[in-house]
Amino acid sequence: VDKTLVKYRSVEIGIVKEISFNESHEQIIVTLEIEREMERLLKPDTLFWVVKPRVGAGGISGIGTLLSGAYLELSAGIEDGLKTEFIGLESPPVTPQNAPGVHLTLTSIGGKPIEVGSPVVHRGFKVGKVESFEYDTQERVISYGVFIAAPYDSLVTDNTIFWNAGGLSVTANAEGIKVDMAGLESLLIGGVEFDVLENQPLGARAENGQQFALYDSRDGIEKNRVYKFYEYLVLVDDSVGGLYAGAPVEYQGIRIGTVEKPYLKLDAHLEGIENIQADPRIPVLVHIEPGRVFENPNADLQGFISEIEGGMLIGLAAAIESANLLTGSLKVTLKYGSDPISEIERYGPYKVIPTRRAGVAAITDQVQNLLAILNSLPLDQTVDQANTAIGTANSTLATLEGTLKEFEKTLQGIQPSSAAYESLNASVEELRIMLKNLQPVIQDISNRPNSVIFGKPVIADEEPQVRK
Amino acid sequence: MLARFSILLLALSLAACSSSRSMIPQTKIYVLDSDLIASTDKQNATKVMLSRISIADYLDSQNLMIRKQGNEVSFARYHQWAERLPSLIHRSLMASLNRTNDSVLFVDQCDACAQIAVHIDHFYPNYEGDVVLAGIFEVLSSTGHAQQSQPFLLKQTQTSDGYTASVALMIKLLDLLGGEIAEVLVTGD
Repeated sequence: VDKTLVKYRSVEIGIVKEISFNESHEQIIVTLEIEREMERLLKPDTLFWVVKPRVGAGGISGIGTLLSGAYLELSAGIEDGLKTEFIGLESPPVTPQNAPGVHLTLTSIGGKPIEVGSPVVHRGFKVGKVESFEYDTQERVISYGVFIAAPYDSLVTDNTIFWNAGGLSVTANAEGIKVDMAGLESLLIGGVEFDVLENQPLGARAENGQQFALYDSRDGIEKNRVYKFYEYLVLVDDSVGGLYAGAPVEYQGIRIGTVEKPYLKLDAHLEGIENIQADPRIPVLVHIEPGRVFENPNADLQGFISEIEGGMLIGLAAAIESANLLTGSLKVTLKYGSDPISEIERYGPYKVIPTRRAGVAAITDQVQNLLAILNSLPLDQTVDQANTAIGTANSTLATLEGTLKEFEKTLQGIQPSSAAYESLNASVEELRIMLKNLQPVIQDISNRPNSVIFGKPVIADEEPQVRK
Repeated sequence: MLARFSILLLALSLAACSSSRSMIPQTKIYVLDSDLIASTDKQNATKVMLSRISIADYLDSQNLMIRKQGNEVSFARYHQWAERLPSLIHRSLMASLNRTNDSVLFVDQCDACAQIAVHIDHFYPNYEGDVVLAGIFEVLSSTGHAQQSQPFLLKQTQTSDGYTASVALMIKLLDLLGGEIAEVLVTGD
């Protein structure tokens, strides 16, 4: 009393005049004397707190009061009016009362806790603070009040995504190990980071008090992002073992939805379906989420759904296929190629996506068809005929072999090295010599035909002579 | 009268036949084998095959011939070879080769042997009194590839008349050819 000062922006404006208890002794009533000219600071939303040494997640504050002593500080409000009774704060407000910026509410369903005073970061740059948190026991969600200081409040738009950036994340993949953290402060005391996802339009600037979802991590954004959906049923004949809620619904490898429930409970009450157990098909509830395939979240999602339903009439059908061979998990895939239908079946309140057999079931069908074809073939008769043909071929081959041997002997007889060939050759040579020898006789007869009867005069041979 | 004339005509014909038969010279048959014996018992001798003898077509006659002035040749009627001339030459040359070289055994057939092939273009007595032997011989590898070709021209002058003297000189010329072939085989030149 008469010692503890009241300050506004470190300037003395008053002093504590009296300290007492209320009637129930549960509250401390501190009476202050404020300078008259400072009366305008006493607005209905003015805040008072005690400045003293504090050690918190945000660091150490109020060290100076160790020497000067504790004092009361106020943050002037902006509302109209005059108020003289206030409830003091347990701790100073995180952000000044009329600081320029935007106040937002982030809702989270769990994950790492965030302390009051934790930084709000945008691309590594601290732009705000977490002001408060509150746990709603009815909805079972945590709400965080955050403040983004100007001029950075313009960065927050309708398409901004917030995520818990506290701690660090370690990712190991084929490219190596990646460690991410928002900063040392976030590493130690947690924090929130925000940005607009790549290829997403910014959208309109966020307004004061606007609500956003707080995702557990950057990686969890795509997984847990909430899209607008349209519900359908897929009636499956095969096993759904390995199909879990959250499994993807894909078209040509592109995710377009999510499995909401791998099977409806047997006692589910569906309008128009009296006894779900009577149908042997297993109803799988899926959400078709057109927003997954559009960059602009304001695109015509209904048009996409119309396309899907039109496709069902001309052969688009769903099947349960393997998503991961190691874990055995399943997924729902949509593909064209089935028989067209005249209208979309309904199952209670749900439209039914036609089903087709795929994966092991389709292979089984094909194998069964092939076995049926093979079974119908007259294999016994064919084998008998083949045996008869083989027997005939064997005897024919034996005969042919004997013929070839005889032919070989014949060929040997007329080869150049054979006696017959040499004999023939010699005979031809003798005939040639004889003809050559006959040639002069024939020439003589030709010259003197009468020499056949009268002969020709005998003339002695001209013989070689010694050189003269 | 007519019968007598016929008998007289027949008798004259027969007389003419008998007198003409008595004027036909006797045919002489010749070979080219030398009297000298060639040794074929050679220890560790290299075998060489005398593969083939080829002669010019005009020489391949059973009748001996003489080359007259210019390019005229005359074949004898009554002087003949006992065999085909290539066979006679082959046998005579083989004997000559085996006589002249003790380190090489010349044979008719052998596997993977060097070979000698001889081609004769001129082998006859001429009007100048010389006997000529000319042609070319080849030394072939065991695979039949020609390694060396050597032409030859050999002459001997007759010292007496007649084909008998000519044949004797032809034998001598073949002997000389055998010597030339052996020398080429040994020296490689």
